[in-house]
Amino acid sequence: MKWSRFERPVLTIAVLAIVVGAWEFGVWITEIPNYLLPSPSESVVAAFTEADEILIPAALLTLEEALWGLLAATIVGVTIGIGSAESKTFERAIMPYVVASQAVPMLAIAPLLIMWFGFGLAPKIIATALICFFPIVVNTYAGMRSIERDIGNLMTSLQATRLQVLVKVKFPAAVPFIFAGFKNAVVFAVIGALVAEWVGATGGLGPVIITALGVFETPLVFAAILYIVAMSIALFLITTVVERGVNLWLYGRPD
Amino acid sequence: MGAKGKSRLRRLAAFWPALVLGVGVLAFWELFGVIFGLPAHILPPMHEVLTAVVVDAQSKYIPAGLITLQEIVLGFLFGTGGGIIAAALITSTRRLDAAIMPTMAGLRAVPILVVAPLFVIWFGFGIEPKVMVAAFVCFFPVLISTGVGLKSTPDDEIALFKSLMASPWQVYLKLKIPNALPHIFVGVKNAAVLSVIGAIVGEWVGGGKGIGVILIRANIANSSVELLAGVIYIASAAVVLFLIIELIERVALGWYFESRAAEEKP
Repeated sequence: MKWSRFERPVLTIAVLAIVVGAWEFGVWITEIPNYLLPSPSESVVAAFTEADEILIPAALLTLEEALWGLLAATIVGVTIGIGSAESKTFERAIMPYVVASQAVPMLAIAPLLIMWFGFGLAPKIIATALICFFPIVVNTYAGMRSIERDIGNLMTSLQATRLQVLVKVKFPAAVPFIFAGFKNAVVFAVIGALVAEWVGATGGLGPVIITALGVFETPLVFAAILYIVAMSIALFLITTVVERGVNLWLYGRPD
Repeated sequence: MGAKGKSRLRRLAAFWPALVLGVGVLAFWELFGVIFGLPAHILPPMHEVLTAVVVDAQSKYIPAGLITLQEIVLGFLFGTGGGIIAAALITSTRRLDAAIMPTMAGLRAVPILVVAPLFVIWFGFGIEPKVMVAAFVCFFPVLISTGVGLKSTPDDEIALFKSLMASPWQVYLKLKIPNALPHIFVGVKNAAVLSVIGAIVGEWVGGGKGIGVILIRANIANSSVELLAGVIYIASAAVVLFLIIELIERVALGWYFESRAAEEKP
């Protein structure tokens, strides 16, 4: 066990502790009212005292929307990625729109989704999927094209069909790339669900935040942010663990 | 037909699948509402949206758009400038980099939609909170990609520079920065698109006179024609900004793309 292994996490935690300490001290010394800027301790207290009644049920609903959205984004993203890698015409037809979709603010689309699909789960899933699918498409596409030409030639010389090359060579090669894209997408999943909740929902963290802002209950807003960040980080860490397992199973080494 | 004409034809041929799909979707959109008898406030026919984009441009979208554009450009400049400077400072020592960068990456998970109302509480309803929201969303991708770029210089190239008695300043200016530029541009292009979204989010929660406010009114009035017309303006702004940055990249990094193309050719 060498010190250098712990250097990064220790330094990160140290910096976080300094920032949070300075924030706490600054709020205490300037006596800034808590509706303007609550102290970290107030935010954490709110995160616990409001947990059972408000925050946890709301967070679970938001998480459910985010997870369904991620699933949809993965299915759509991987399909478009594979299709684009296999067919030049498909790529040329769809890729300009995939790229352009990233220029449209979800906040502007969300009201339309609510109008079309109502106030239930569907618009939140679609909003999340629209925000998350892009990195999955790009990475799947890159992964499908990452195999060396020699391997493709070898498969062809062994009379493998196109489907066999796809399933046995290209897709396994793309899996680490897909995970990289998925890790990128996971961070934005909760945000996607939140945006749709912002424009039309009765449950979830979005309405909790809007209500809290309306009555200047800023500590509750910060508590909700803590929940959002915690969920995003948890999803990211879970993905990392699953990724390691899958890569180990596919390649016999954690890569 | 000469070789030049042929390559031009081929370039055109690359566009037709996207064109066919686009026209197909628009036609489907136009017909869908008619066939299923959907009311226009739910799915307005495409021609009505495009008419609104043109007819209301002078009176509504362009004046509002100019205000939003101001917020976008200022936010973009502050955000990218701040991101590049912060990355240069943070990566100046390995320790500082290890201490701060993970937290910065984690901050990306903070939804801007939730931070924006706080900016409004702190800075009021003027243009400042919108600029700050736009700058905030631009800052992180630029910071992270610049950080990666500045660290990407191969060690042996640095060793070569040092063996030729280059000063640390020369190593930075002539080796590390040129090496980082392709990475920096990735972040800046990302920021160009995000700055538009940031300004709209800022207006959505903080009011004002920009396109975002037109969208809020349209949302409350259930006017999907106005919503879609606004979306078309916003998306065009984002695409144009992105293309401008890409053009600058092509000019500034001509050497990089040439050497990469040369590497790909056997």
